[in-house]
Amino acid sequence: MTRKERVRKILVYAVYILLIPAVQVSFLLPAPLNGYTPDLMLLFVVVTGYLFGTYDGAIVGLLIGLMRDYYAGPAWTMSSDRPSALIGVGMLGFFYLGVFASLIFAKTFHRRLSMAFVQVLLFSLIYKIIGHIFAYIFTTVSSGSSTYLTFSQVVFQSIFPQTLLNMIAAVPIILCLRYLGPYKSGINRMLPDVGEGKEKKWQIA
Amino acid sequence: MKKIISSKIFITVLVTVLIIIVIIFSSIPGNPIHSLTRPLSVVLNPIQNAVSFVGDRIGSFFSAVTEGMDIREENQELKEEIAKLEYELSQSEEATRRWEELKDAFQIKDTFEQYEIIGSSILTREADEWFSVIRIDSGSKDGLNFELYDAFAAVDARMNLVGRVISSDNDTAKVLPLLHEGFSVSAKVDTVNGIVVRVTGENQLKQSGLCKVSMIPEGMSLNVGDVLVTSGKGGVFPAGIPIGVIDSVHNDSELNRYATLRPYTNLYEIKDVFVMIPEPSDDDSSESIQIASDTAT
Repeated sequence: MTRKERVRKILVYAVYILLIPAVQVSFLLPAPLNGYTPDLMLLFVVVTGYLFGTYDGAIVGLLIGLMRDYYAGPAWTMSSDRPSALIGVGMLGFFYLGVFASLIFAKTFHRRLSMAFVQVLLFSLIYKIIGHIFAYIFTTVSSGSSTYLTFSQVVFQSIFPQTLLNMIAAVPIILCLRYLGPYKSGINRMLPDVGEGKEKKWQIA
Repeated sequence: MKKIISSKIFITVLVTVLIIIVIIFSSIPGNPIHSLTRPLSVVLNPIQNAVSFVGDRIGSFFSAVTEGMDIREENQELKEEIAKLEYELSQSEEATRRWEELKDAFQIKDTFEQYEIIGSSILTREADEWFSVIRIDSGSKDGLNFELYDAFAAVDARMNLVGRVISSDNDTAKVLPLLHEGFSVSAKVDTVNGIVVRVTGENQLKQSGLCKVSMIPEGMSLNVGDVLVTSGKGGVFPAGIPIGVIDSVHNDSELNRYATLRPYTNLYEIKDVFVMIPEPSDDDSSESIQIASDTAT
């Protein structure tokens, strides 16, 4: 990779990392969607990991996670008299999202664009399911309450609308990452499974 | 050794441990870690404001196109209303003058007179149901100083409770909304000797825009339509801030009596919040003077 390509990569990533979280937390969709917005941050991290490999996925995951913590972090309410705003939960979660998105199925799917939607679907589901498990545990631990969302609420009012919105919003994210950068031709040639000959075979959607 | 340090697993474990340390540290109330986000605020706030501005302009453009006719009619109605309100304003100004005179005369104090009210815009909304703290554009430079106070009440333009400020850096602060499952406030029914209850956010009710009302005293009951205000117990929220109205009452089990409350404020509809910062009372200053004189002697 030449110096020019490296600078371009860093600049394009910086623009994505600054803009995507700002867009996600600045607007609300109309009430019929339960106030859900597409999780652009999750999509960006998952697609980056899937298309461009572990290092890109991990670093982008860490930085996007930091943005998530900064803009709209979770609150720890062990003591309801003095809840704290946590920093680091988003970083940790998105770091692992980036890493796993680059490892699970990325090679099996040969980093093909069309299969990126499957990856988005898979990781949206994983994120929501693990999120609900943790939320359930922390709700029971912190408040001592055993009341949490019912199974149907979890499925139909949380996982389903969020996953649907993510699938729709994945289209522009995937196209941006593929055609606008950070890599020329949308291919990270540093990856071992993407050689000069292989790219033509697998990268055409 | 060099091979181990550069291995992916080692880096992953190292990053994980470091982040867990940050999480644990940030969970300690009053930790200084939030002030370290100041450099981020300097970079991110202008970008976020620009994004919001562009989004609002685009939204306004489309609204103007689709609602053009409605706006014209509304404009005519508003002009008539302005004329009416101007007359009422002149009447009110006279009434205010008289009220101030009477207040001074009888030494009546406003409920929130001992609080400085700071207006703030909501910068960012929740990212999802777990990353659901909102950020406002007031920080420690505006007086949200967590070294002096534990928390600050956040209200809307009609003085209805919105949530509580839980951390701040120099320019921005995070607000825990009323519907958040970690939110809790002591409330009372807004009548003379109204019963004191506890209002908390709850996962199941959050999606319907409701809160849970619990700890209803034995032998007492709530009714649908009862208005709840903050009781002032606990010291975080001053007494008398309107919270909402009772939406339903559940007395099925004696051990689990609760009600649901519909808050007055809807976070999705507001763009500004007002933070109540306690002003140092005369007692505090006299105490300080006393301490100072004791120290001097």
